[in-house]
Amino acid sequence: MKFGAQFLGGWSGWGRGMLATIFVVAGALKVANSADFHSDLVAYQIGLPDSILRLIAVVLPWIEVLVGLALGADFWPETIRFLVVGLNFGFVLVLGQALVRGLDLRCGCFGPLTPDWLDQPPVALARALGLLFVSIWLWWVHQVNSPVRSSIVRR
Amino acid sequence: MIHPGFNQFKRAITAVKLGRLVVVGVAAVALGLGCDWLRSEDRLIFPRPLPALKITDPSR
Repeated sequence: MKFGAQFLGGWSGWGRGMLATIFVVAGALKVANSADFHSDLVAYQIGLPDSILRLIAVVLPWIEVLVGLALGADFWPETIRFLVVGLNFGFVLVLGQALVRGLDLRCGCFGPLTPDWLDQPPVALARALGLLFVSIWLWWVHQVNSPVRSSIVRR
Repeated sequence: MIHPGFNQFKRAITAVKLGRLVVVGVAAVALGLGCDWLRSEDRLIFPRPLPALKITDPSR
């Protein structure tokens, strides 16, 4: 068990770095092009009023940047890793509903600089599912390795 | 009797520390609104005031 936890802990560093980089880059690109991101959000036809979509377009990229930086620095791990799981779960849900409804849109995940093939909803959904898997794994590794949890298991 | 799974779930949620989530949210809202306000164009929240129209008298 101890070896397994150490092994997973070593790999989790790579996963954390990858997720952190993706979140910071995606967030920064959207911060720089928030009007484009708002247009992409409208195309998803989620059913929210435009004022809420505008607020999401302004705030969500900053959440991604902050979460990415905190994840990279392993700051507040129990909170940030949970937040990353929640964000990725939200991305999967929104992309999934667009795919099911057959909406013709671009993902908008990395701003307007994204190549067309990477912006297609099926590719974006596959990517989001991969990131969701990595984020759940990171959260789980932290749960297993956290001192509080270990003391509960030992009792 | 409370199901042990419920206690595990409760412990996991408590461990997340909701106050920290609020801190991240408030920081993101502040940064987002601040950046939008500082933008010279393509503002999403704060509309840019329209430039004052100069009304000229065509008879002059």
